[in-house]
Amino acid sequence: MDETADVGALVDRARQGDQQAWDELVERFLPLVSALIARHRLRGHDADDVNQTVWLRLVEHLADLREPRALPGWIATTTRHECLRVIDRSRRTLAVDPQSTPQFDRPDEQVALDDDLLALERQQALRAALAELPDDRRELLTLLLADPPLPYREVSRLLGIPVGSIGPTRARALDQLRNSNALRGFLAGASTEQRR
Amino acid sequence: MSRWDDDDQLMQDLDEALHGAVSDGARRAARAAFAWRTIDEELMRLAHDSSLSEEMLVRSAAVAPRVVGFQGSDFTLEVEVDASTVMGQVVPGRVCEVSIVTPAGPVGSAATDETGFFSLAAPDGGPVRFTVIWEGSAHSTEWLVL
Repeated sequence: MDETADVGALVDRARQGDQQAWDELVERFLPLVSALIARHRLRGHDADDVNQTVWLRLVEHLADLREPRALPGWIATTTRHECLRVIDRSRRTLAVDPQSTPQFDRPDEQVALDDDLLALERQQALRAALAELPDDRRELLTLLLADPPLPYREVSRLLGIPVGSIGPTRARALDQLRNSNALRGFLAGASTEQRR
Repeated sequence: MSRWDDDDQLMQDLDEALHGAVSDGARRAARAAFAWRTIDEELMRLAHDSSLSEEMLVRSAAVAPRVVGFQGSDFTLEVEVDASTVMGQVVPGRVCEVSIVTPAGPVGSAATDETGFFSLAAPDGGPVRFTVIWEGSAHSTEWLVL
């Protein structure tokens, strides 16, 4: 199926006010937006603000979107900009392109998009790899990534394993993750396409 | 060799991956954004934004208020935001109405004085847009997070 023609058709229908077409665009591109927000380490309200702003801006942008092929790049660039704005809200120091409505026509934007799409694939591969693990190991890794962090004592109590075995079990779980079909498949693709 | 040979890097990437999963809340917000589709209404574009200017690198940050400007075909809107207040001016100055709109609806509006000045309470957070009623017609700005 021609992906570009498909996105073009969805954009056309959304312009006419077709909510279902819009929802399909959301399904298509929300994983990219979510991946980039996570990549900027934004959580909670900050993450919600960026997500909502990106989609509101896309609604505004539908009418003047000439080239459906540019849509992934536009979405990625807009998400990056909005992430930086929200980060700036608390930090107020950074340098980025002041252009508010990104143009997707520069070679470095293509490089940035490739990098964004790779980050999305990496995150998807890691989630698939985690799903391959036995329940107890997946739980251990998830608990160790809890935010705010849980003390080992608490992890030990929740999983019913001694504190001393958390470290070695984590190491085995990570090895199992590296050997999962999902990560091996991702890395095999990586060596042929020179991914980082 | 891969970036995942290191346990800590792998854990960090895993953390990012778990947060990068699409959530129902994000999907709902994205779908709901479509309700803000407007037809044939001129959009006032963001012309400048202090939070994205290089000037911010030079100024030692944080204390400076955020300043943004929007350009419409008939007039411009300049806005300065601090923690509690949004002050602004419509140029050329005249009496008109300015409101702050969130995705949930308007959260405040004010009439400008004859020089175009207005003042409003700053919104709580999340994306907003400004809508100016100018000579009987509504002009809205792009959405942005203040």
